Amino acid sequence: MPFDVICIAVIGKTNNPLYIKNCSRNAAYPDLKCHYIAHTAIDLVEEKISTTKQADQYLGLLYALEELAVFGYITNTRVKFIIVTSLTDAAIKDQEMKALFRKIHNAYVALVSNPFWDPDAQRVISSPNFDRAIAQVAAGSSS
Amino acid sequence: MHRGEMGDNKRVIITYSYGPDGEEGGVGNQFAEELESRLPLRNIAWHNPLGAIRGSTNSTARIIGTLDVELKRYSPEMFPRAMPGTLYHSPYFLHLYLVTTDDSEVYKATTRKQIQEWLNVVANKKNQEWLIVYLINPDSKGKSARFLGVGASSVFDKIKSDFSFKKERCIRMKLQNDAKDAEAWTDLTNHLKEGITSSLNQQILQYDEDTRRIDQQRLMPGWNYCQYFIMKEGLAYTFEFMNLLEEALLQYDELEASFFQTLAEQGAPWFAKFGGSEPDDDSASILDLQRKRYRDMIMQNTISIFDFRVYLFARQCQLLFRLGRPVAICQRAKMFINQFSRTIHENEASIWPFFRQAWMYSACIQVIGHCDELVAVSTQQQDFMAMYDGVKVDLLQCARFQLDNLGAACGVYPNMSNTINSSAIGPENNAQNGDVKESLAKITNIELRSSLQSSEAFDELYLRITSRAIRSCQGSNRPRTRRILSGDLANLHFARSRYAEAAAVWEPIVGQDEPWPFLDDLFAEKLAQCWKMLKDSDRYLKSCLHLVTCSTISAQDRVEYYVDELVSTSSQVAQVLEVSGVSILKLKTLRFINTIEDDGRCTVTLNVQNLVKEELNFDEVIAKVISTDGIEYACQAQSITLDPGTKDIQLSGQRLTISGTYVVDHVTCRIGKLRLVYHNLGSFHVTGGAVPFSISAGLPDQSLSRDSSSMLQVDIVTGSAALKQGTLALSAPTLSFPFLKSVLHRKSSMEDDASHIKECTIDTAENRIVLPSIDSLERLSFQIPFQDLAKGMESEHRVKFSLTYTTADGISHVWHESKTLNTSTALAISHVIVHNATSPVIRYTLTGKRPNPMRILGLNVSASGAVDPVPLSDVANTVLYYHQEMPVICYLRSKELADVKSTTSAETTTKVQLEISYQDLDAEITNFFLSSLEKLLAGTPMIQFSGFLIRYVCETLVPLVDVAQYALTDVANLPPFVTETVGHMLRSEQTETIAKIEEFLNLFHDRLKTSSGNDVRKSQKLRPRRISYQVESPVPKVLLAVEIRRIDAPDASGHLMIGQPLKCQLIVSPQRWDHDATDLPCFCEISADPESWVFSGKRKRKAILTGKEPAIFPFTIIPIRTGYTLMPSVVVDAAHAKVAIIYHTNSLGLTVRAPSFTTKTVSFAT
Repeated sequence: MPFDVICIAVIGKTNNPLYIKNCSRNAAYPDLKCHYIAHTAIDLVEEKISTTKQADQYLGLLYALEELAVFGYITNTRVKFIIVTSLTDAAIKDQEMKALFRKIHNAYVALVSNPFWDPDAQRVISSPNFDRAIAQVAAGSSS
Repeated sequence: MHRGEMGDNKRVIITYSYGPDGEEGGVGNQFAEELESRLPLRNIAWHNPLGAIRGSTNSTARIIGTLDVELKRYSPEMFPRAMPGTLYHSPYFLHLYLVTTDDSEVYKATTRKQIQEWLNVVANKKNQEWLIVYLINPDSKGKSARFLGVGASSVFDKIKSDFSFKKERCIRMKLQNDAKDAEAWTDLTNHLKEGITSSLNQQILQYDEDTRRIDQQRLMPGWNYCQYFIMKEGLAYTFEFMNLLEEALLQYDELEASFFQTLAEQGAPWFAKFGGSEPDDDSASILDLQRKRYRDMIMQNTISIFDFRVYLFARQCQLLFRLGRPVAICQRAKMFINQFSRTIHENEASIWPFFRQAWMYSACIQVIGHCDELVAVSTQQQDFMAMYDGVKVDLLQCARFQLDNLGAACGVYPNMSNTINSSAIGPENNAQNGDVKESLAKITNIELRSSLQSSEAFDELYLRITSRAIRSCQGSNRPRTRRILSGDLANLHFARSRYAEAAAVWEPIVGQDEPWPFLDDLFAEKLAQCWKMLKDSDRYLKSCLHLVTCSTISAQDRVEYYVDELVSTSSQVAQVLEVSGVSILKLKTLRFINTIEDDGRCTVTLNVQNLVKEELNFDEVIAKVISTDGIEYACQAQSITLDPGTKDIQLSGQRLTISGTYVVDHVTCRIGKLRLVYHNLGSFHVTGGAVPFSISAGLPDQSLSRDSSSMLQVDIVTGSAALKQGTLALSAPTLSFPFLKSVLHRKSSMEDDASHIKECTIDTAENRIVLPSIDSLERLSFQIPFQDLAKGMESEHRVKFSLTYTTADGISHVWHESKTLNTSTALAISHVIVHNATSPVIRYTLTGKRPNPMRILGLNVSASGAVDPVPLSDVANTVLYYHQEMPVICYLRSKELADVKSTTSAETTTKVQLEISYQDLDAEITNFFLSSLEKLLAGTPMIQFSGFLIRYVCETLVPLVDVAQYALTDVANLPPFVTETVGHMLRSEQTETIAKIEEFLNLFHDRLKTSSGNDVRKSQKLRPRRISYQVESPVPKVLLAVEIRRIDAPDASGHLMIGQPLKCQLIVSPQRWDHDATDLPCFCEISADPESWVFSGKRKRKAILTGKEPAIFPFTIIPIRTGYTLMPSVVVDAAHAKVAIIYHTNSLGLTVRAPSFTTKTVSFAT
């Protein structure tokens, strides 16, 4: 894909951070920035789902900074996925973005299917499988 | 930029023209004014011809609400000459020609020609419509009617025939200044509308055709985008003329899309350069269309990319502005600025270094400024405002980022790593610094440039923009963005050492409802630094407390630092800080042990998990334990060190004396003035009562039978521990204890019998008996009066003992227990006195009143007065059972005269007192066991459990022994020890102690398996209980002996014959006469059985006794029945209290015989 994924965030239904992965190798994007972006993205996700009758789980572009674009996705259980990408010359196609989100969703479903995982515990995701799946998503996007 | 710039209103122009006939009387002018007053045109129906062509599904007519139309007087010069290579967008849509003359001659002569000239010009105009209006002047109408009849219509007809076209281009209007006028005007405006739309459609189709043609040539060499742009823009303009703004906007959107397409396909060879190099380019309004001659530049192919993009965007905004859509403007602006900034970035070589930032900043601020103006004049819904605030936030944020970057470049923005825009970092060296300053000097935005001059000015602008963004966040309900922006604001304050301001911003955003640990902790850490700088120890302590527990600070040195800070600050703070449930520690109560040693303590074992990755030193840990009665106890430990991980700590406190459920209400861990409180640590059932003494109560040892004043004797027996002081209160529902001032108490050692009596005072305030100090192994007894509220109906009473005491170690305890007391007397005693000539005899009857048998240890009869009691029964060591009666006989021997004299003569009454000493058998056994226990305990370490063991003996062991069996067999059997019997008493005890106790009790039971009565009695150190019984005056003052004496001697056989008279005397002889009176009247009555005797003489008599001589009354009786016959009985009534009478013969009898059978012959002489 023609863009780099800088950050992937999973946010719980009570807007608690479940997983923040900084995929960037650029020092200009410290973890803190990922947290800032993921945190503020909740505002936009909420705005989006309250103003529009959202039928699709994919929320599209939430906002774009100078060099970053933030995309959102919400599951039926109100878990939010956020992908932050670098902006490139080529437009990012929704279809590609949806495919990425679908992969994250599948990884999350696999995680939740673990009977020992309590989705209401507000615990940060520490599953190595999930970590691996997200790393694949991030790596796959730039390849 | 003013509204004029933005809302550059282009209007459709309708021209009008008229000849000299129109000039006449100003009819033409009047018509123009009339028409103008009816403008603008409303509700124009329009079908988009392109829509039909492009297969648009929206085939319904668009209604143009209002259309501003400008009315202009026609002149042939009004049409500008089209320059080659340019495209003129004609605002002219419709041309009117007015004909007012009704004179055919005039028409023929001049008007027709004029019309023809006019038509030559206007009909040649492309895509413009024309219309001839034949105006019938009402004034002239009269004239024509008068002279020409149909003259007016003939002119109209002529016009029609002269300028005949397929379309109706000639209309007749009759103005009569009445209601019909409106109709005529409506008709005219309809024609106008029709004309305008017709012209419009022609233009649209023309443009469309042209643009499509050019578009098709796109790949031809020499094709120019600018040409295409101008052509398509013409269409957009046309739409705009017609107020069809959305259609116009669509054209621009298509243009923008095709721009990118051609840019991608062919690059941009037709743009001269990138641009942006002109002065003011960085700060001039991007919405100002008048700033440069953009269109000309496009047409001349001299426009730069920068200008072109700005122009395109400004046009889009202009249309949106007219549509009243500030949100859309901001959204597009956001997209455009971000997108174009990247283009600028790519072309940075051709412009000065900070152009991009300066341009972005200015662009954002300008767009917001314009939209704010638009919003201010329109009334909008709340939802709309929220949306607007939302997009505004993004723009303001974008502007601020640029400000950050510029500020960082010129060194007025402090390097802050914690802001959202962390990439804003200053120049690396001074060499660069000079270049930077030079570049920054090129910034033309005055506000921006001045803000970069000094830190103060920068801060002012930074705070203003950020605050504005924060306000907008509030309006758009974006709490999280607001939080982040507030954090940035505080960061700046912090970097500028304005700690109070920074803290004021951070404080409300730390620890919000919605947790985001990473950010929460970041803010908390900064806030802590503020408090430290502000020397606000209290708040700093709170912050440190939060920080040592937060999960995101994982670096060991940071944790270590905050733990050290926590400890040092906790001693500095002015006020005690108490916080509950802080996740520094995790506490769990493991065990709750109430030891049964005499000096035992209550121990709470806590499992403490130190969640901090550092060692923590607590000055004190206190657990508050609350009983079900609400009494609080404390267990504590000092100087506790907790390493990371789990540790068990023991807190000890005074022993719990009362059994029940205890709740570990809270545990307070103290470091300096910081108190960490943890609540609800479980509840435990505790067996209390392992007091180092035993308390019992009952009727006094010494009591009088038939005593009405009731006393209760309380005994306190201590074990190995002494009591320093204490107070005792008794209460019972069925008994009342009157208020006392003092009681006497007796203290005796358990080891020797030496006892002493001492006065003990009562605490009058609370009616509690203040106990003296009691040494170890001592017995304290005292008696207190009570009243039986049940008035003897019940003998068993439940009494609650409530004792507060202080042990030798100075710790005070509270203990209370309820016991059942039996207040009935152990023995009932009654008596009968029997007098005789020598001395009276008292016959006592003892009756057992208690279910448990008792042992009569002995009796003692004492008397006052002239008698000396001599007991005749030996009852020592006999057992009296329940309801058993036991007679005790005692005769009262008269004392010798000398002895009598020694007593006072005044003492006339004599009292005989019987004192029975006895012992309850259960008490005997208890005592035996206790003394055995004492012997076993002496010198062993088990003595520390003496309190518990004494209690065990009294409450558990004694009830196991069958007292009745012991009474009968004189052998006390103790069943073997069963563990369960002590189980509940040792429930809250350590297992080692339980094992020790069980071992000891096994031995104890084994030793005392069988004990003989002798052993039991031998060990008795108990004072026997005594009960006294008093009999008054058993010796009378006057003792009379009453006797019936036979005078005649019986025959040799001593038998009396039936029918044989028997002479008798009733002799009442005074045996003793201590009476003061010399004579005493008395009544005698002899009663003889009439079936046995025939009585002769006085049956009843009155006699005066003198005390010296006996009174003798003779009488005769004859027996009339054989067999043993009782002598007549006598009753003497002396009618005096102090007279006792002895009847010697009342039960005397004799045998009456029939006469022996002899024959006696009696001869009668004849």
